[in-house]
Amino acid sequence: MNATPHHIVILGGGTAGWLTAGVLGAEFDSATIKVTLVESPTTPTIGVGEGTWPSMKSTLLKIGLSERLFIEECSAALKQGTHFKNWLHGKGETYYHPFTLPHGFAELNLADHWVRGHLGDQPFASSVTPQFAVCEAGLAPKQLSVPEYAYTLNYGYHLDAGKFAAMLSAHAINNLGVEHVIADVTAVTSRENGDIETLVTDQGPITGDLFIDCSGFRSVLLGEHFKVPFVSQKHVLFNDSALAVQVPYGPESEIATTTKSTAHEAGWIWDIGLQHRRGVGAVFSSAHTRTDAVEMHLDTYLKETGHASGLSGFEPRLIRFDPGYRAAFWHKNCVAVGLSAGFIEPLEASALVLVELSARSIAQQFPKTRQQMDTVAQRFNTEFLQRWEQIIEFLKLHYVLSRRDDSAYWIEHRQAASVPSSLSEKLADWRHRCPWHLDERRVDEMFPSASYQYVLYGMNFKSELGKDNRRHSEASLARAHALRAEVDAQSSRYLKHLPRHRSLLDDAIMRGFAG
Amino acid sequence: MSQDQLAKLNSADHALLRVSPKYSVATGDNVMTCLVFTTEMRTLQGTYPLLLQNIEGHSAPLPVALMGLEKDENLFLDDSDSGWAAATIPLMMQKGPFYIAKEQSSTGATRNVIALDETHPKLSLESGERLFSDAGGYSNHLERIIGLLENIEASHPHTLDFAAALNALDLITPLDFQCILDDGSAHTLTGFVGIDEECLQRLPENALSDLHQKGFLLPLFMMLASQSQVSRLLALKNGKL
Repeated sequence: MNATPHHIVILGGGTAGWLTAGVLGAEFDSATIKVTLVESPTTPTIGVGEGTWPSMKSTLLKIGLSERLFIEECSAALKQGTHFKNWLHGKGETYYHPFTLPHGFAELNLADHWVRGHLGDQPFASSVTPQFAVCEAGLAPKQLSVPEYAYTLNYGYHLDAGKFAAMLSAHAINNLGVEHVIADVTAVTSRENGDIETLVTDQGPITGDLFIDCSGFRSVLLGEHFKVPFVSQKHVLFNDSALAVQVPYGPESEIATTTKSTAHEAGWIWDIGLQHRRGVGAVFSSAHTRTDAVEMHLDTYLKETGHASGLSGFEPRLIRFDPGYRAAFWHKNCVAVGLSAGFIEPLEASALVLVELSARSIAQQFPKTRQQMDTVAQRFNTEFLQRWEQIIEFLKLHYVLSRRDDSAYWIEHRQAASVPSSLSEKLADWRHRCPWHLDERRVDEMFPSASYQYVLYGMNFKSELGKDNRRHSEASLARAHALRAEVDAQSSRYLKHLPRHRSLLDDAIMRGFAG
Repeated sequence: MSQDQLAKLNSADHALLRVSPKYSVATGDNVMTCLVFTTEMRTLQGTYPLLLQNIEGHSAPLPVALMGLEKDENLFLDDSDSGWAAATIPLMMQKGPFYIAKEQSSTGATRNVIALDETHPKLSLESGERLFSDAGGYSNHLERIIGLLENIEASHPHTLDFAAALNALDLITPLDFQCILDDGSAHTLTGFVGIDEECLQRLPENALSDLHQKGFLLPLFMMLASQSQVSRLLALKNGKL
């Protein structure tokens, strides 16, 4: 039983499957560790997860894809963060959660000084990073002369998930030695120890050592076969439905460089700009509102954002989901990645980053023996359980800080019973202290303390710090003023020199980035 | 290097002195950038990113070759015979510890003389190329260095004018960015300035023609073309992780 695992079988040909195949294919020499991806010819992919984190840059770099080709083939745009609207009062107020850390974040916590009113009266994000001004102006986060994947201001992507899966698939098959089998799985056979031995398919049996379940919501292996229970989080995050449309636009349209997230009476609307279309969808809680009411919100939103005919002519796609995750992600010789592991509403775009992190974690600690696999599985489960908890906590923060009282939905979101105790404790702590590095338990914490700052102070959270009585308070204040001045200087420099978002994308496709 | 720390080269004091032709960290070649001159940009652009950098005492940023991604890093240093992992090497790196200094003659006229930094680690009595032959004449090696110095001296004013023109026409743009290395770490490059292609494209014809007549157009395009060499630096850096 101590044979070296040498055949990894991925079940599912959606974004999760092909991204995992890409990461593993780039990591392992196919002569020693072979990767096979089994894809059903009949199961449609769900194609969510059109927003990524900045981590996608290094993932693509590692997989060996050119950024220029990626932008071209996936109709991708550069995402510099999220622009929230109507989350606090529902009266048109906005704030940013940008991807670039506050200036000088490693050395000094500018939030300490902003909260005390030392840095002027501008919004938090605009006081601590030039990315605010750049996003407001619709400029790109870099120039063409900056090499692929390098950046002046940090960014992730908006992408067409269907095209992304196709691109990853071609690359994995042609360049990374991943074998592609198109077949429907009809049965699963087990070994004596309960491990999966074979996927029985209409094209013949596929035997493997490690099976990666990327089969989507169905969770064919982890859920259906192993019956690992699902842990619903609906009592914390109520949203369980989305109504999505794709709104085409022409090459003359500007492309937003942030995800726009606009709250409505029982949920929120995403707006993601690609090169040729916007993806717009309303997330909502079916327990709190009716689909036709959400259709009206969506219709109004489209009309207010430049699409005069609103929803007419569209057949919005209704997606239902149960927010939550599996009690374990790695069970025996099977690990779930993507929707099969869990799904939570797309606020803060955590779906694809979890796939990246899972694939990376599998690649890095790939077990040499079957015996070792149990140890790796245990560590993996601990790690990802913690990640899910961190995501849920951070998403919940957006609702807890809201003061909207126009519906039961918003009011119930603030009821103590729905708030994870870990989050309540942090909020109590942050009443007297601004989040900073101490709040990050591990180096790859899902959300850096900077993200907490942007949301807390974007939503008018009050930290009562009192007088700064540290020995070096004067020096610290002087340094904070200097950093604040640098933010202004950078802002005006970038406003002058950075290209418009669409023109950078056009130029990148036509001529490529330098380097 | 201020001139009063330099010694005038002469066959009496320096008769047996040798200079190491090899590049290494130990001999002070681990520098991130060095000045480059308009005359050498054509040959350098295929190897080094040619950027501009603000240098104290100069109002306009000056052209430099980027050789490393951080202070005191030269990614071109290697274990080869020459110690340098590329066929073309910037003049300022080739010239080593030698300089052209001004000397006032008894009649009051100034003239150029060769000077050297006697404390430089490339100089020794033990190893390297002799500067003078036994008969007291310049060695071939020294002749070559003098050729380099003359080239530098000749192209220096043109290079300063070139930098001033780019600045005056607003053809330059700050280039701050972070690169992601293979190990996933991010690496920040700040304080550099590049050619602003957009501005270049908007430049009126008479300004372009003026640049051309002054011999600035060719080096300008060589600098533009060189920007893709950043990827070479990243590859070298990744190779050393």
